[in-house]
Amino acid sequence: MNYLGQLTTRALLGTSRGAGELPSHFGLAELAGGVPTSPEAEILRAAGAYCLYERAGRLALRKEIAAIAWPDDTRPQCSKRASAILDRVLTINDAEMLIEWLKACVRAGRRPPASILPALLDAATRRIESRAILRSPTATAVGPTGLWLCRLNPDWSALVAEDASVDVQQVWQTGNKPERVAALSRLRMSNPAAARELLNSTFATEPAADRAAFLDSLAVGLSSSDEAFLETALSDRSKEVRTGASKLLSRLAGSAFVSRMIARVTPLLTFAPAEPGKFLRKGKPAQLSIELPAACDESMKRDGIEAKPNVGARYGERQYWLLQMLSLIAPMHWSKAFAATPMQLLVAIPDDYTDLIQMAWSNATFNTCDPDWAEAFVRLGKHSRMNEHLIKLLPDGRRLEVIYDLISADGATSESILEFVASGPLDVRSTRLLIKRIAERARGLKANYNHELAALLPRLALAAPPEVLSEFESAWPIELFESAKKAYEQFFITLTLRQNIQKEFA
Amino acid sequence: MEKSWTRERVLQVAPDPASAKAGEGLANARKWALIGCDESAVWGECQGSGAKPYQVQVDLSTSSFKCSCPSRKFPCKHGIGLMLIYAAGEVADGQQPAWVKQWLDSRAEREAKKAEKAVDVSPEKQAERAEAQDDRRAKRLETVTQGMDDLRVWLEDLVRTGLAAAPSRGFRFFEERAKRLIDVQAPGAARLVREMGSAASSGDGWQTRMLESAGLIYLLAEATARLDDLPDDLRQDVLVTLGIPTPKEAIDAAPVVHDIWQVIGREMDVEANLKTQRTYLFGVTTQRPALLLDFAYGNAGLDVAVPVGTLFPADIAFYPGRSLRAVVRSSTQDVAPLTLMQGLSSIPVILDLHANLLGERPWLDWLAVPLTNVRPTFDDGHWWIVDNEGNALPLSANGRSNWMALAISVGHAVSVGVKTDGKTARLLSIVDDGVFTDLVAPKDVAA
Repeated sequence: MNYLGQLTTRALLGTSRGAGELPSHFGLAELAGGVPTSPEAEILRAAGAYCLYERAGRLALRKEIAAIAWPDDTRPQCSKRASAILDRVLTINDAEMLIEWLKACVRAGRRPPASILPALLDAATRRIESRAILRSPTATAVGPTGLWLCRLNPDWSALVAEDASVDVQQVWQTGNKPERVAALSRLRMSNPAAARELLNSTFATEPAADRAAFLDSLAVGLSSSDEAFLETALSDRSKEVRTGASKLLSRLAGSAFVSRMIARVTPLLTFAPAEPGKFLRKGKPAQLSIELPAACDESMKRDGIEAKPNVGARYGERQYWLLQMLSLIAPMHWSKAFAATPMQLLVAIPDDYTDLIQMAWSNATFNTCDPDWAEAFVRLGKHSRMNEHLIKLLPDGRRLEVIYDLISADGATSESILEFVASGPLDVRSTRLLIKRIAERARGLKANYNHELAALLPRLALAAPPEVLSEFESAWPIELFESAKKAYEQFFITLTLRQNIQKEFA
Repeated sequence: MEKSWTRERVLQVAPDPASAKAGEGLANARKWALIGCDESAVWGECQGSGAKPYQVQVDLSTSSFKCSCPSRKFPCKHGIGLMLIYAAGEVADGQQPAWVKQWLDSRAEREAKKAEKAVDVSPEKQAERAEAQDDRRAKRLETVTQGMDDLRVWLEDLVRTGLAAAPSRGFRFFEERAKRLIDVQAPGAARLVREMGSAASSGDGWQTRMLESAGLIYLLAEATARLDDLPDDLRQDVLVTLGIPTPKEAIDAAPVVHDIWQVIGREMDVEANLKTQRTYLFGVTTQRPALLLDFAYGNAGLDVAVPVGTLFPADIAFYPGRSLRAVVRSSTQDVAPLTLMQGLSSIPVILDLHANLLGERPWLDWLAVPLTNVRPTFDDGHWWIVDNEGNALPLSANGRSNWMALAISVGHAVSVGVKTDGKTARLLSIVDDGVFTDLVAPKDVAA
């Protein structure tokens, strides 16, 4: 035991339990130098002095720096102003604005300053709800240096899988679930067959929740070569996996699964096109007739159709079977089979089935990402929970066209305006129209508009093209927005910040 | 002159996180009716809740704020908002409005008067004042000495009954002792006792740490008892360590050291209602470390006239007793950015300097210096800085700062501002490729 250890033992026990001689050590015990002394004093004095000796006598440690491949980012750093803006965006803690900054930076071929990388990586990995959407833009923006840091810091490991240089096989064997999902999805993009094989190689041994998540990543690059694998997954032990497999199969036009579904539903739906009026005879509107399925047989069950609706469901058993089956058939099939446009079919649904069939078809539209049907739903304007998702299926140009039409026809409810604004970036033309509409409503409704406006402004601030900022200012006198003043101010702050981002990377 | 106001610096001046946040809210040029700056000042008019807009102005030469709003916080959110806009480079040059000119003139006048007054006091009056001060000081010293003697006995009792029982007595046991030392006006000793208390809950090896801590305090107590026998410098150091303020005359009389000072870092602690700010300097020519201490109570803002990350030409006076602590006596405004650190070149040199300083100031805890040509390294979960010869100093894991240093340096040699007790180190700042980065986290504005 070293000298300090001996002193400590004595001090811990206490000198009242027998003092004993203090060991001599470089004259420490004799430090008292004539001052009246006691065993306690000697221990304390010696400990203090020893501590000083030690502090003053420290030698440097030795450390070899391992020769590693240091990351190298050849992109020029973004401007000081751009990095100051990033600072602010990080303080505001708004995922969408952060994405805007990151994308602008990447587009301009710049990189964020190295000193900000840790804060950026924290922001992209800390909050679970924003993680998924932030991951890919962050990984691209932080570049090789950032990804290298992610491999060193477990807190940031979720981003590692975004690294294109990473070995997918290795991540698949050793990574955690999010890393593996990301790696699989990336491989799927470049080589769908290899990704499916990789998944197939371990599928049986994965836990149920993971199987379902992995299966979802097959959505990218889905083709008929996946059919066999998905058919097997239809008999999986886990319901979640079976449902996932049936959804994917339903997107495979011409698959055996789809043919089975169509064969089951075809006898149940008949469509009579509209007949124009002639002389005294009145015309007849188009009519869709619906029959409910009689039974849910074993083959239906194997294809993922549930026999019993959940407790408290809005539909009876037979309605529920139809709902499920119809949701799994691409809606395009019906427009072809009945030689009718989606809109013609939608308005031909008999009243007592409107709810059921619309829900089934909007599920199917969403599942197969069918833009024609999506547009029909949005133009129909009946507010359903699906609309906010369906509008996002439209390619940008078409989406903006629909939005412009609907706003200018004044056929948009306040809910649908909210959906338009949340559906993605707006163009100058529809934004100008919106500016006018909002000002009109604000003038008309005054304080009653407050609530609606407070919900609308934050989304509009993220969707509007920043270059129309000044038009907002002149079109909206502040007194119109007195009751939503806070939201109004925040709106301008956000939009100004976005304008600055654009300017900085222009 | 390079603009020395950065976003970080502005946020540092904020008296509290709430003001910083409110200031951020105002950091938007659209909220300002009139806004402008020139070489000596920044000004703006901000519409508040009143009819008349608030007039806000900042004197750049002294970094002082003034606002016509009724807020008791200082600087107020308007001042912070204005300076945030200024720091972002979004304030255009302009002509000083009359109210700004008036304020600057009156300040200059007041300064002149103050200087006149200082000269004006008659010798008799000066002597009288000095005598009264000496009296007060002697009384205080007596109380402190008594308090330290009690502390000595208390430590002996602890060792008599055995330190093993200390942790079970809990935090309060040490806290009460520390409070008594505050009562006898020895705040420095109180801090040491608190540290000793925290050793009790410091995990493996606490026993040795506590005994070391107790031993150093004991030496301080014995030194206090023999204050008159000590050599001048050591006596001064004991007084400073106890926390007894150095008389103003002694500081005034201290010789002035002129240098261009590298401002390598700044830290701030908040304890109860007291903010303590440490600014670390290192002379380019003298290669001497200096510490500027600033205090602020409650809502008051801290002095930030010395900006971090700059070369700051100034006359500074060191406190007596070979102290590291210093005050700025006079400075020019020729502040340049610190793009190249000129400091120590290897880790053994730092350790030598630290050892030498310990010889003069046994109770010295930290030393902050610039260290050139080192590599921040992360290996197997541990952080190091490694110099060119392979000498290493462990870094304490410290929030983001180590990761920032690693991201900036990625394997090549950099200069760092580093604070060390000889055993471990903390990074304060880094200079790479001519760019200075402050690694001390600013106050959490979002809080």
